[in-house]
Amino acid sequence: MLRLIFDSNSLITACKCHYQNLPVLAYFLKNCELTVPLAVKMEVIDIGSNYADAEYARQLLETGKIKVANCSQPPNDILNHYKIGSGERDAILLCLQMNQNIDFLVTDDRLAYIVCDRLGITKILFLDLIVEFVRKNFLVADQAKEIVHAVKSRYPEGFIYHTLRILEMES
Amino acid sequence: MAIVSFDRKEEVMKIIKSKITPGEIDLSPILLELLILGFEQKLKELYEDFQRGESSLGYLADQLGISPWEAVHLLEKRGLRTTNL
Repeated sequence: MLRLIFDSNSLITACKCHYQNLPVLAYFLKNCELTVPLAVKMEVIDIGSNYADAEYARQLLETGKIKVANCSQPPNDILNHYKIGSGERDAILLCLQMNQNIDFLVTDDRLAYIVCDRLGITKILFLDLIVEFVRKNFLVADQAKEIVHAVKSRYPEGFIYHTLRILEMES
Repeated sequence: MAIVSFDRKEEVMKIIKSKITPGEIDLSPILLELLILGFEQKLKELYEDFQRGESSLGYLADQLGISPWEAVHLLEKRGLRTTNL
């Protein structure tokens, strides 16, 4: 079981893209404990039921399949000086707060990824999370490749090709 | 001259109207047109920052007063990429 925190962008990818008529996130839920900060939950609630992907996330939040955690501001204001949104900022703060109780912060944002790196947070791209699930035998490689194809519109071609090559080596 | 397609205009108009309390401002057609063009210009500037990795998608959304889910929707409708990797 992996303990993950998702920021908004990665959560949107996982809810928006479908594989075999299910949002991609559904393939991850049984093998991970997924937490989002309150700010990410509020973004989902604010949008209402206008978007099917947000509606799926809302249902998961309401049924407790995605957990919500509140985070406290650190003593310094480093994060406020970066141009990151409230969802990304609180996801990073939550990681600092939960420290040893989190395996990865899942983010596909370049700036958030660099900030995490500078703060010593274990972060992972969503595509690498797919690979990690194969390595842990939570997904089979062929299924993982299909999931990569399902999300490919969200990434530059090089990231998709590289991920598929890694998955070929894993199978 | 900046031109905004009808589809986009409707969508942006909806966002702008949702931010205004009824009766607060008299939204004349010209004012609405200016607000739409201003929104599109701001979106363009923020998107350039986002693509350069100087800001995040959440920041882009926060600055426009919309949620990241709406931001993804707006960017996709314009055929723009929604990650900055």
